[in-house]
Amino acid sequence: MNQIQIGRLLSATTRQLVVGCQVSQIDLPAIGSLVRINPQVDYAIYGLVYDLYIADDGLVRQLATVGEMDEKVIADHRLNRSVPIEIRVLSVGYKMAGQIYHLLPPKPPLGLEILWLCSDEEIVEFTNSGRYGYLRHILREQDVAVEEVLAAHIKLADNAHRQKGEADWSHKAVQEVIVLLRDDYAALTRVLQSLADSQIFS
Amino acid sequence: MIEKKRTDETNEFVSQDVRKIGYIVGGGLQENLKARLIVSASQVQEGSFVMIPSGNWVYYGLVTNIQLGATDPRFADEESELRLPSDLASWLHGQTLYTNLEILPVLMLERGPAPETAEYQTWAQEIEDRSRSEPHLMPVKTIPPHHADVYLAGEGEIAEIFGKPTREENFVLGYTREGEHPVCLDLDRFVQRSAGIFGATGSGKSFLTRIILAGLIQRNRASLLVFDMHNEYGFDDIASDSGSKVSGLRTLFQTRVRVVGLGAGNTIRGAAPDFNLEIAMKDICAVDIELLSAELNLKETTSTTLEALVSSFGVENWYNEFREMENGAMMETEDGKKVPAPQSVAAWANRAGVNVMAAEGLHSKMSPLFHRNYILENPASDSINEIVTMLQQGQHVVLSFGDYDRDLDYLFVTNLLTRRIREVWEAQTNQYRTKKSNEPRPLVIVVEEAHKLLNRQMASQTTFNTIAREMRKYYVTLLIVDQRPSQIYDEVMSQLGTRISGWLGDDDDIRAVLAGLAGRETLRGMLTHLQPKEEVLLLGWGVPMPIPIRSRRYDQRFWEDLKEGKAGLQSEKQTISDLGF
Amino acid sequence: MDYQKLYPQIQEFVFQTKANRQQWQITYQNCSDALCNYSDKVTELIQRIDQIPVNQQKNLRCALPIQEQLDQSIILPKLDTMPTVLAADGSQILPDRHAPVYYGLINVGGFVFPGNPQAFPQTVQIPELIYGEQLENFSEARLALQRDIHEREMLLNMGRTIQMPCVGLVDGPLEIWIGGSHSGGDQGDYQRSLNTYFHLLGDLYQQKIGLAGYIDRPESNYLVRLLEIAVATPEELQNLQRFHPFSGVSDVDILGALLKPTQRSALFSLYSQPNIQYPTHSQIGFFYINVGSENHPWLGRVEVPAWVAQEEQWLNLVHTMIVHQCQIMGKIAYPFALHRAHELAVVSNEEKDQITRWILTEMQRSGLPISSYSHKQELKNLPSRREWKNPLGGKM
Repeated sequence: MNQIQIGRLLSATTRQLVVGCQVSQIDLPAIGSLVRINPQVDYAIYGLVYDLYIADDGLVRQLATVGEMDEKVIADHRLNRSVPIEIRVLSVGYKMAGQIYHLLPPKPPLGLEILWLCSDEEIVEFTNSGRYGYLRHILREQDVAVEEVLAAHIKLADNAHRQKGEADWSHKAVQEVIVLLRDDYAALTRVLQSLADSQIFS
Repeated sequence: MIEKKRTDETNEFVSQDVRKIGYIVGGGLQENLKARLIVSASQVQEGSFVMIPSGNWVYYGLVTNIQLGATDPRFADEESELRLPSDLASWLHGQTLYTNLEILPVLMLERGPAPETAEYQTWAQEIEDRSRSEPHLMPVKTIPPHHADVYLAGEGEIAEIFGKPTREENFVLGYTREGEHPVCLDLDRFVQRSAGIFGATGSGKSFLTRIILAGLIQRNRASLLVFDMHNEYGFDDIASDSGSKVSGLRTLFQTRVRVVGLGAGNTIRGAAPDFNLEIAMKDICAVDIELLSAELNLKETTSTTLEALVSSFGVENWYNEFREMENGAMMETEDGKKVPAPQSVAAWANRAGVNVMAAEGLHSKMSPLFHRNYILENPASDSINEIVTMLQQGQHVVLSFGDYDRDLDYLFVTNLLTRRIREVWEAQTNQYRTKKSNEPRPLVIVVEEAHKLLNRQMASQTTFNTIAREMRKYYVTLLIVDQRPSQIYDEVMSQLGTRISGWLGDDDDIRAVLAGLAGRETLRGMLTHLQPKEEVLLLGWGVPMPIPIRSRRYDQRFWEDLKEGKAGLQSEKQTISDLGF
Repeated sequence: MDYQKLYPQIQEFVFQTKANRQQWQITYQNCSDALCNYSDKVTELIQRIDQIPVNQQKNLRCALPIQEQLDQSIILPKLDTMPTVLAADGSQILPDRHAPVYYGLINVGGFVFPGNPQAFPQTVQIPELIYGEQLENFSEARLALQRDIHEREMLLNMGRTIQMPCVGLVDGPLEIWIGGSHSGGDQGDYQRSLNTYFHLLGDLYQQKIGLAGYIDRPESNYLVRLLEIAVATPEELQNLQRFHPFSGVSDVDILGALLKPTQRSALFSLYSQPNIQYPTHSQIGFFYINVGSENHPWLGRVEVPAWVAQEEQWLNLVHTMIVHQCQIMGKIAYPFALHRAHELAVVSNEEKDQITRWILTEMQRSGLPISSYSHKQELKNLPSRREWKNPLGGKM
C-alpha cells in the first residue's frame, strides 16, 4: 500500500484531532478526506478532515501590501517558508483487532503520531463497515461546516467505491443522511444543497 | 382442511399475486386502521381489498382513504425537485413524504399457529376432532399490531371471501378495481332476502339489473317476475347512450322467459309478446282503487263509496256495475222535473244512501280506468292465473307495460298481480308446512321504479311492503330497482339484505342505501367516487363485506360466457376440491 | 515600575533633546556647507589625509574618496540580467551557565534568490553545536566571529553551484570586528580566524562571486569625519582625535537630502587601520543608497570588497540588486533575501528550550547525570502573573 504521510499530531481529544504539517511537506489533504493514525499495532483511529488552518505571519502581511509581487517571492513563501498548517480532524471510528467500529476511539492518540491519508481500499473498507454509523459523528458537530464536510466526504468516498465497481454506495449514504436529518429541515436542506453542488448526482 | 396461508413467517402464499403494499402504523376499530403505503399510490385505490396477516389471524379490510403526509410540512411545501438533482429529490421525498392508507377492517379469519410447528398440529387436530370450531369469517373484533404487513389481496383472497367463481351458486358480478380479480355474488343467498339495485339515472343501473337477472335465470333457483315498466328487459333494445343493440332476456332464455304484454294487441319493441295480460273486472277489489288515491286524486269519502258499491253489487260485480252507471244522466218526470235517471250514479247513490256528490266524483275520477282496454268484463282467459302458474312451474315472466307506461297502470297492475301472488304463495307455503304439497318455488319480484310503490304513503297499503317484510317465509322476495332510494320507505329499505349500488349523487339517496350498515361514513365516500356506468358497490347481507367493483359489461361477450358456462354459473364439474369453507 | 518618579525624567529628556536640536541645526548647516565646498576637491582631500600625523591615524575611521565627487548621486543603472542573490545570515545561542547544559549553537540560514526568471528560491540551514573544547576561552565576540566566518562559508558553498553572475549578501559590515584586541583574548587565535576570513574572501574573489554587506539605518559618519578633516586647520589636525566640529551629524543626515530614491552616493574607500591589513583585492569600500520613496528617503550603507568596487559592472549589479531586493519588501525597505536568511537562521526561545531538553534526554538515555537550571534561572522561569481575561470575551 502506498502510504501518504500528512503530518504529525499536535493535540487531540476523543472527538477531534489537530495535526500540524508544513506546506512543503505534502499536497494538502482535501476537506472530507478519510485519514488514519496508528497509535499501536492493531489499533487505528479514523478521522475526517474538516478544516485546514493556514497561519499567517508578519512577513506574509508585509509582502501582501506590495502591489506587484515577484513570482519567486510567492514560490519561496509556499515552498520554503516553514509556516505550519493545522489540519483539524473529526474522529469517526477506530479499528481494533481487525474489527472496524463506527464509535469514538476509546482513547485519543498521543502527540506527534503520524497522520496518514487513507487509500481508496481503506475508504471502501471503513465506509462499508456497519450501517453508516460514523455519519452521526459528523452531524453532531456544532462548529463545523457539516454540510460541506459531508458533501466533500461523500464525493471522495463515492469515487473510491466506483473504483471498486460499487456505483450505489453514495445513494445509500445519502438516504441514511436523509433519515438521520429528516427531523431537522434546515440542516437537511443545507446538506442536500451541498450534495447538489457537489454534482455527484444527476 | 385449513388453508396454509402464511405471509408473515413463511412467505407461503395461497395466491402468487399477493403484493405487500404497506404496514400498519396506527388506528383502531373505531377510526379505521392507518397504514404507511410503501408502493406508489397509483397501485391502490379507494375500496381496494386488503389483507393483513398477523399472528394467528388474517384481517380483511377495505381502503377507505389515501392521504398524503410529510415528516415536516416544509418538505411538502417546498418544490425541492426544482432545486435538487432528481435522484436527491426522489430520495428526500422517499424519506420525508409518504402516503397513508386508511383501512376499514371488516372481517377476520383464524389461520392458526405457524404451519410445521407443534402448536399448528395440535390446533389442526382439535379442528379435526371437532373440539374446536372450524375457522370461519367473522366481523373484526380486534386489530392487527403495529407494523403488521398489509397486502393487496389477490385472486385467491377475493375468492376466499366472496366465493370461488367455479362454484355454481357464485355469479361473477364484476372485478376488483385494481387487480381485475373476479368478485362473485352468491345468488342463492342473494334471493333469500329482498335486495335492491340502486343508482342514479345514467349510472348503468338497468344494465346491471340485466346482468343480475340473467344470472338468476341461468342459476334457475327462483322464478322471476319482472315488472318491466319501460319495456327494457324482455326483448332486444337499443342502448340509449351507445345506440348499440342490447339483447333482451327473452332472446337468450327463449324457453325459460315469457314476455307478457299488458292488454290485447300490444306489441313490445315491435315484437309480439308471448301472451297478453287482461284483467277481469271481477278481480278488481276496492283496495286496488284505494291504492290509486294519490294518482286519481280521490277524496276521503272514497272508501265509504266503495264499501257501498261492494255491498250493493258484491265483490265480483261492483266494478262492472259502477262502470256501467251513467254519471249525470237525468230524466224528466211527468211533472217536468229533472231527476237522476235510474242508470245514473246519483240514482244508485240515493238508493244506497251515499253522498251523491262523492259517488259522482269517484265515478268521474275512475273514468281513466274504465277506459283501459286491458280491463275486460270477460277476458278470454284468466291470464293472471296463467302467470302465477308459469311462475310456479319455474318459468320467468317479464311483464311489459307496452304503451301503458303511466304510473296509474303500473301501480294498479303490479299491485293487483302481486296481491294475487301473495295469496297463492301463502296458501302453498301453508300447505307445504302441513306436508300436503311440494315446497313452493322461490319467487323474486323485480320492481322497477320501486319508489312509486314503496314510498312512505303507499307502503302501508301495497302488498309490496308486506312482501318485503314478511314474505321471505313464503318464498317470495323483492328485488327493488330504483334511482331514488331516499323515496322508499325506511322500513322497506331496512329489510333489504343485499344492496348493489351504482353512483349516487344525492346525499339523501346515499344515506338511504347505507342505512343500517356499519362504517356508513366510510362507505359514503366510496359511493360518491364510483365511476358511473362502470363501477358498483356491493353491500349488505348478501356479501361478506362491502366492496366496490368494476361491473361486468352487458355485451356480446357476456352472453357468450353465459352460454358457454364461463360466467361462473355452470360449474365445470367441481373438480377442484372444496378447499376453504 | 514607579511611573510617578519616572515621568519628570522623561520630561527633562525631551526638553534637552529639543535644546540640542537647535544646536544640531547649526552644526548640520556647517557640515552641509563643508560638503558643498569640498565636494570636487577629491585630490586635495586625499593629500590632506596623508598629512594626518601617525599618532592621530590610529582609530581613525573615515571615508576616503576615490574619484567621484563627494556629493555625487549615481542613478540606477539599467541591466539586462539580474544577478542571483546569495544571502547568508547567522544566529547563535550563547552558552548559559544558569542552564542545565552548557552549550552554544550557531545556526546559519542561506537563501538563494535566482536571477533566472524560471528558477525558484532555495533555502539552506546549517546548525552547529558548540561544546566541550570549543567553549574554552569562550567569549561572545569569538562566537560572533565564528558565526561570520560560517556565513561567508555558506555564501561560498551556495555560489559554487550557481550560474554567474551572483552576489553574496550579508547583514552588517564586511570589515570583521576583531574584538579580541580589546578584550585581551589570545592574539594568535584571532589572527588565525582573521587569516581564515581573508582566505574565504580570496576564495570568493577567485570564484568570481560578488560580495556586499548591507547596513540598515547606518549611524556611521565616515563622510562627515572626512569633512571635519577637510575643515581642520593644521593645528587642529595635530589633535584630530579631539576635533569634532560636526559631532552629532551622520552621513545619512547630509546625504539624505541629496540622494533620490534608487540612487547611490559616490563610492568611497574605508580608511581604517584594520582595512589596511586586508588583502588588496578585498579592501573595503562603501557607498550609501536610498532605498526609500519620494519624500521618505531611507538610506542604507553597502560595503563591498575592492574586487567589486573596482569593476563598474560589479558595482552596477550590486546597486541594482540592492534596490530590487528592497523593493520586494514594499515600505519596509530591506533586502528580501537577507530577511529570509535571517528568518531561517533565527533560533527562537522555544527551539532553544527544545534543544536543551533534547540534549538532556539523550544524556539521560546514556546514563549520564543531568543537572537542572540554576535556582536563579528556575525562579525566572516561573510563569508570570497570567493576563486577566475578560470573562465575557471582550477586549479591555
